[in-house]
Amino acid sequence: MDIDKELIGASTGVLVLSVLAKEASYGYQIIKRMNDEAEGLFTWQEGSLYPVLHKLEQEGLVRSQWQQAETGRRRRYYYITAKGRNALTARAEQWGEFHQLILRLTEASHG
Amino acid sequence: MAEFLQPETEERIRALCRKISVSFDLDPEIQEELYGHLEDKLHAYLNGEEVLTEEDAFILVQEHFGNPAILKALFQNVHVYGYHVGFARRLLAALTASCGVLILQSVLFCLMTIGMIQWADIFGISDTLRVFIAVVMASMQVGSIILMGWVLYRWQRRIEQGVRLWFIRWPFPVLIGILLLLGFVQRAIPFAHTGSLLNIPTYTSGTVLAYLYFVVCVETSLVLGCLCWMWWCDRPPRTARTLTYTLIAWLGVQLLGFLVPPVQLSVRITELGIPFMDLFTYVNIAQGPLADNYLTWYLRWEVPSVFRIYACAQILVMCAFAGYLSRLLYRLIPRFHAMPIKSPQ
Repeated sequence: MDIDKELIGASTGVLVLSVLAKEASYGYQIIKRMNDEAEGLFTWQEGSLYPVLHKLEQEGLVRSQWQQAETGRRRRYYYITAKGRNALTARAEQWGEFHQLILRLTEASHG
Repeated sequence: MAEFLQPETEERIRALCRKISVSFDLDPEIQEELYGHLEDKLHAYLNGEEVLTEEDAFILVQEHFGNPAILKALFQNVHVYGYHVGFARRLLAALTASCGVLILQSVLFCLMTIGMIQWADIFGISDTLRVFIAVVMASMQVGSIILMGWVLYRWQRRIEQGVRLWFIRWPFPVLIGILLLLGFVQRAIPFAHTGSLLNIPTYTSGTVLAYLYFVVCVETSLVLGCLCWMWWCDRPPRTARTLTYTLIAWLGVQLLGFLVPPVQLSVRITELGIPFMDLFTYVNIAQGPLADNYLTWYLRWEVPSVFRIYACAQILVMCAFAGYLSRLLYRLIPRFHAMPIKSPQ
């Protein structure tokens, strides 16, 4: 099943924060982890991750640091901040409530 | 496992990153980050860590297969196709289209000037009116080129649909005759000269911005027109000289258009009006003693030579610059310049 692009666009921030909440990562690694978790549920234009990361950094939800990756190459690692963790919890709750609402409505419509 | 990439590959990745330009201060860091991503991805493909999807495979196939536009041109070089139109016929068609559009432009401008004179006679002459005329005149110049481009585009579409248009069917003498006739008609259209009434051209009226706009529009129309002609004439099987000949033909036509005076006396709008019921005065339109085309005015002997030299130099410089710029722009548009040159038989 392909997930609607608009839905992915609206949830990119939460997805990125979720990945970073587990472990600090750099761009390519974030994509890889997200794809592994998604198991083919969706694909996205990889380049569009970076504007999202930079926006999150501007909002103070993540911070970045250049450091050596395990491959030996220099990469820009992103770390989730305390503010980011709070935002992730809040957004996840919002998504949960919204999800419940949709379920209730669709169940009601199906009788 | 390939630890290091070839320098050519690295440069290609960097070039791709450079295309994503944000700002002078931010670019190096952003580009370094993007470079890192692309480098990782490339290594992952090379190491087999990244699995190729069907879509990925198609992209590879497409890339290896080559640019479809170039392939199309290569095929057209090899196979004689039904809709092939030779360079000479294309050139004649382009000339006819240009001439037709110029006639339309001249008629419109003549009518507009007469209307403006009426307006000026009733409401007076102001700088605004002068600027308005200059702006409309210049805009019409660009508009006519866009119209010409549209006509050529339509013709090309119809040729590709297999339609044998008139310039493909008719013999050369007929085409040349039509062209000469159109040229005569264009030159014979009276140019409504306003004398000192509106003070055209605008560079004598002190409205510098209007003059600049006029110059920019003229130069833009020259460049656009040249690009249209090159696009139209540069068709396979093309030769190395096709573009040069097209460029020379276009510039030659422009110079002729500027320098050849009208073939008949132009209409002259004098300041003496014909009163109408004491309400307002009709502008008196009479035959002028000489060709009053505003550009040829500068070429007349009674005009101080400094103006003549200035006008000629200005026209030559503008045409040469437009030709150079068009050639440069044409090179920059990959869709145009990517077509292969037919190798000599």
